[in-house]
Amino acid sequence: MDPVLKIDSLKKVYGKGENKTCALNGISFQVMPGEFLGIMGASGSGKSTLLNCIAAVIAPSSGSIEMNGKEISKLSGKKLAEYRGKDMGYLFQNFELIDNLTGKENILLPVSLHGGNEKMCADRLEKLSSYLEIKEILNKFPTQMSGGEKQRIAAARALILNPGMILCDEPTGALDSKNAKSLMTKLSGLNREEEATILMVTHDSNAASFCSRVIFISDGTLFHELRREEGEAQKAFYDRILKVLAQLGGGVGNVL
Amino acid sequence: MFSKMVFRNSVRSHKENALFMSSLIISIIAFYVVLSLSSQDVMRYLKTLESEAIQKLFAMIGVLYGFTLFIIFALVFFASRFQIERRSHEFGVYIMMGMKRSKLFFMLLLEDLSSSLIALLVGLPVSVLVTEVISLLTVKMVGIGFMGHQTTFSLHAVLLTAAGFAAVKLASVLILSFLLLRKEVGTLLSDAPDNVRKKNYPVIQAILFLLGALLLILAYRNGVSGTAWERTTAMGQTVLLGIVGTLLLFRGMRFLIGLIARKIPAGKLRVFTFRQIEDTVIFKSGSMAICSILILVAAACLAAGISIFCSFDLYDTKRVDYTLTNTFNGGNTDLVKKIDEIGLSDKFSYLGILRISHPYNAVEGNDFDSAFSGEGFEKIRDQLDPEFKGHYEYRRLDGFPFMIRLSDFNALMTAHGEEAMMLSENELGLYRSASFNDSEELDNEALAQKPHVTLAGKDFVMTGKVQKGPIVSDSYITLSGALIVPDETFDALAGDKTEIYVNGILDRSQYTRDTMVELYTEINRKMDRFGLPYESYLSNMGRQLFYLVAASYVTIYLALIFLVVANTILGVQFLMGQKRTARRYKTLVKLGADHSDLYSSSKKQVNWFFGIPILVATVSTYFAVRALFQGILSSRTKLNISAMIPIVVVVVAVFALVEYLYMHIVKRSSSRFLATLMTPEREE
Repeated sequence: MDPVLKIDSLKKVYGKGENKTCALNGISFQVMPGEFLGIMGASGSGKSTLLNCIAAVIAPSSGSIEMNGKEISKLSGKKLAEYRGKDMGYLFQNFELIDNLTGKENILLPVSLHGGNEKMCADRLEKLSSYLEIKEILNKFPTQMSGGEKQRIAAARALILNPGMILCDEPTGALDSKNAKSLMTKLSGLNREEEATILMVTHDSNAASFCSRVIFISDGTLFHELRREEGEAQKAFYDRILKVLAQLGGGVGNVL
Repeated sequence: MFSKMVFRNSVRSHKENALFMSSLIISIIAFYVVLSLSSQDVMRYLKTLESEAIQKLFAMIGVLYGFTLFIIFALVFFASRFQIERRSHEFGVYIMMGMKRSKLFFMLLLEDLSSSLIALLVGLPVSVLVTEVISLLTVKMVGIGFMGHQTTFSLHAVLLTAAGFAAVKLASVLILSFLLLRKEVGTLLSDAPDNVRKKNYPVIQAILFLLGALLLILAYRNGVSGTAWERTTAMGQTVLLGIVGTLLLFRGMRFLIGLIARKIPAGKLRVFTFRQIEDTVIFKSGSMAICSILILVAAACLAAGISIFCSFDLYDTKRVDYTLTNTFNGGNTDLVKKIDEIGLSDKFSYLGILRISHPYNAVEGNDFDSAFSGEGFEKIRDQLDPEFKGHYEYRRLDGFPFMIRLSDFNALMTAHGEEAMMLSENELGLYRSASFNDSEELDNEALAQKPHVTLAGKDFVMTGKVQKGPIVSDSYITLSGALIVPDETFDALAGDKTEIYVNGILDRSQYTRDTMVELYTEINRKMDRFGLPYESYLSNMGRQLFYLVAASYVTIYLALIFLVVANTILGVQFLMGQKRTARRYKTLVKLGADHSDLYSSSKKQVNWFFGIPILVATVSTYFAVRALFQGILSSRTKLNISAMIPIVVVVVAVFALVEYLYMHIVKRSSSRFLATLMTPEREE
């Protein structure tokens, strides 16, 4: 099976000469179809740079990022815009809903931007909204919704075009624990049932315990990788994540 | 370092905001045009004819200057507010970095100074050019090219322009800095919050909309039917109906926009564009209504100004060109000879005398009122229209009326190409000057019944139609009513107390529309040299020309100012709104919208934002212009439809051009702003 995302020797260097900072130092990994991958790491570890590179917001200094066999650093103009919206769904920490559009209109924005079969989209909207339990709020404006509702609307928007991969950037960052848990349950459900490929950057070990694999980044390099074993309880996986995080805190980068 | 920053900031802001800079330059032109009015060729010429009226106009320039100051202040204030609000985040950063508020204020002041200087450097030469063009254009249209063009440049006007402009700029920067520096740093740093969406009440919206439309229809009806012109209160009522109607219409427009805006051609971001337009109507209905009214006022002023200018056709008017008179009692016939002697008689197609008097010989003792009794005539008039009696008391013929000698009058009328009046010895005719002739129909009906009147105790019958042609060169010397009397009766009653005028009509083959004023000037010079006591139509024309030039100048000027103000407010409001909702565009970029998607949505929004007020204003203008012709213009102008078409075309062309330019500038600014949002940033 070919990977959805293939990252090879990715480097990103900011500044020049003495001011050079290496944010990513030759990271390589792959994401397989239907995988739910978590990326964890301390502030400054290079998480954001990695995410920005994958989302084609910044260009890497060297190395390659291939999405379904396409090298994304070679994309520009229309193709790049299409990549951002069609090939990749994006779930933001602060939802990024447009406040003067209703829930439904927000969800259908990618359809109007990138085109899509209306009938199919209507069916998909129906399916997604009943699964994410947002049917009641489809005609409400974001200001009339709770944080959890907003993020579920945003999730439906990220999924409406059935993209190759969903990029989640701290999706639970702005939610309370109850809403966070409910969102993660829905996401992992989508991952299982729809075989949606999800890449999630998070600080939250609880959220990370929903993943099938978690990679840890430190100082721009891969530090460790955890894979959830077949039949492993979520609690056990969570404990293992905590252990790695503790190691990460006490590793070579520790200043104490 | 500080001065470098100020310099860089101000250069950047000029580049970024064409709208702001063009507003400043237009302000300068507006000031200069008003202030250089006295050096315009046409005004210099009129000064030689009507110095008193011109002095009054020049005194009025002060008022106009003050008014301009006020309007331009609003313009500059709005445009600068947008500039400052756009940079609030930047100011917040300065303060966070430890810049004292006083220093920030100083920085703003210096930046403002530099932008003012640049605007003056560009604006003043443009202003001088514009006024030169206006001066040459009016000279050409009025036909006083022989005067020779003199430059309109005046240092006084330049200095006052700079002073007025500086005052307006300083006042606006002071107020804006005060408002800015009062804000907390946190408020400055954060982007302005989005407007909270108001709940939609379609029924209330629909009611407001219909109510607004109803009030507007009432206002239109008042204007077009002429009711508005009857009394000041009626006019006030109409204007109020119009203003309130427009405000309500825009307030309730959300209802209509919901129906119409869905017709936006399906394309990318259709729903987003529709919601953005809906937002504008919800949050900006007030300013849209005000701009719509301003555009209406501008259009009405422009139409009025241009038609006043075009309606004064002095060339085609039937008139007496010269009237000479020197003594009260006879002996004037030699004036005709004198004109011949100085070689001017070939300039005239008609030279003849006109005798006017009162029935002095019919007066018994001191009882002047017994000379004439027009009771028979008045009675018939009163019967025909009882309500007329009270209003027009002064138009009664009782007592001691003017008399005009029949053969003199007929000679003049024949010279004008009109029919002579045939009266037998016991008949009298009725004369009223054109300006008193609003009772013409009634008079004619009464005369048709041949009323019996008594003059000097003798019975006469009044007959014929009421006469109204000009009898002297000065059209402001008018008779509310006079009797046209057969020669024998006139001579018998007037005795030696007769006023004798020598009237001259210029030979039309000797001049054209363009050389008319020149010919007058030449004859006047000659008559002055030989000491002939004359009144020429030129001074009369000068007075009319003065009103014409002053009225059209002021109205066209105001029209353009209102138009500029309305468009600047619309443009600034749109760009400010777009800045405030920048987050929405950023989200779209994150979802994969490119610049062309955003720009095409933004262009549609601009079209709607400008289009709605313009559309409402256009409908209102149609009725307003009809009302104008119904009211003030109808008495002076007898324009037919075909003469109106070029005027309408000019007005529409000017408006379309101005609107196109403004919309283009706003679209370009918007495109530049959207370009700054194109890089998606990940927020931590």
